[in-house]
Amino acid sequence: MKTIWKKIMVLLLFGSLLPSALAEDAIESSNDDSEPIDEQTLEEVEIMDTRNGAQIRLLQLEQSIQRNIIKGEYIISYLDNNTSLDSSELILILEEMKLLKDEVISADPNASEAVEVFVDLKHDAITLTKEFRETLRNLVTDDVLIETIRARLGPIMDDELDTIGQRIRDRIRDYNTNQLEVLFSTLNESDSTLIERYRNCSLNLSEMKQRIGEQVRNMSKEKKSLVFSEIQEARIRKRIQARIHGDNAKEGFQIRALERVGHRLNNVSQGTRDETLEKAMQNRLHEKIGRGNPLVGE
Amino acid sequence: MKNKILTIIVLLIAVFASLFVYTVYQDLSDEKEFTLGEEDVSIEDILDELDETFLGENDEVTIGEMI
Repeated sequence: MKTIWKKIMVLLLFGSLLPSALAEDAIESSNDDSEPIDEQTLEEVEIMDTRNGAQIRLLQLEQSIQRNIIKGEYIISYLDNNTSLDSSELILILEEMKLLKDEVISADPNASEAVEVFVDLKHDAITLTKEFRETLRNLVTDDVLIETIRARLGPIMDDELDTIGQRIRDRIRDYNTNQLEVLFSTLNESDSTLIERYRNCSLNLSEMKQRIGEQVRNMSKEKKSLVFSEIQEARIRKRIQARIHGDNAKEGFQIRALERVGHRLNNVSQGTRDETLEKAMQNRLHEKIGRGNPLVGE
Repeated sequence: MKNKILTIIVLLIAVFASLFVYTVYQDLSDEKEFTLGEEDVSIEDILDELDETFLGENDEVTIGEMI
């Protein structure tokens, strides 16, 4: 009888530990750096089935990289002017980030592999940002200094950022206008005034959604169900398409990463005028290629 | 001893019964969500779907912070 009792206890214990063990596995896999595409990126690529959607994501990536370059430049200049710390490693990471930004700018949103390119370049941007952050933390051990720099960074004012921001807003408005037209064709209705007012910025997004809400509210029960299922179906289709692109992006991911570093190596001389910096950049990129896996830091 | 064993068995039955009831309840809830399209759809459900349909005007691609 004691043996049966022990077996029951073991089973109960195993049962209670299993969910937490599975949860830990899930957390570990989501933090895996070599994984090219996370849930957030999968959501982002959902809109890339149109040229406009692809342009939006590439511009947003350019905007985020440009913002980090400005921040990086400020951090380096602060360290150079106020400390005796050697910022050369940070300068090299920033130089590579500038080359990456050029790659994002020259990416073709019409290309059939635009999603894979976006996934690759976004992954590089995250990796370089993380490398900069960790190098900075190893260099500056004083928490007060880190907090001082962070506080001084504040909101960034930059003409290039403003221009990119305006282009993104214009394209988002075009994208939403197109979505609105598709929605009205689903409803078998038309409201050209609403579309035009949103297109020419007389209405903002929340006002536009409020107006649609009012129209939906007046619909019959059957029509509401039909509209709901049609919108949901379209969204699920996009989600499935994004998963397929995600799987495609995983194939040959490491080989493409090496190719990108090789491409940057060829472009180093175009990006920098300083010969010493050019040599140091070449060494850095050669080392990455030599390691055979540019996705993993030293 | 017999009483102890009986108590443990009764407790185990109670635990498994509540687990069974919970699972059945969850299944029924999922089924209800699944058939929502054929039954009542609230305005909130449609507005939630619309939120997913349109892009926020300040939407961004996040790559992390430099510091």
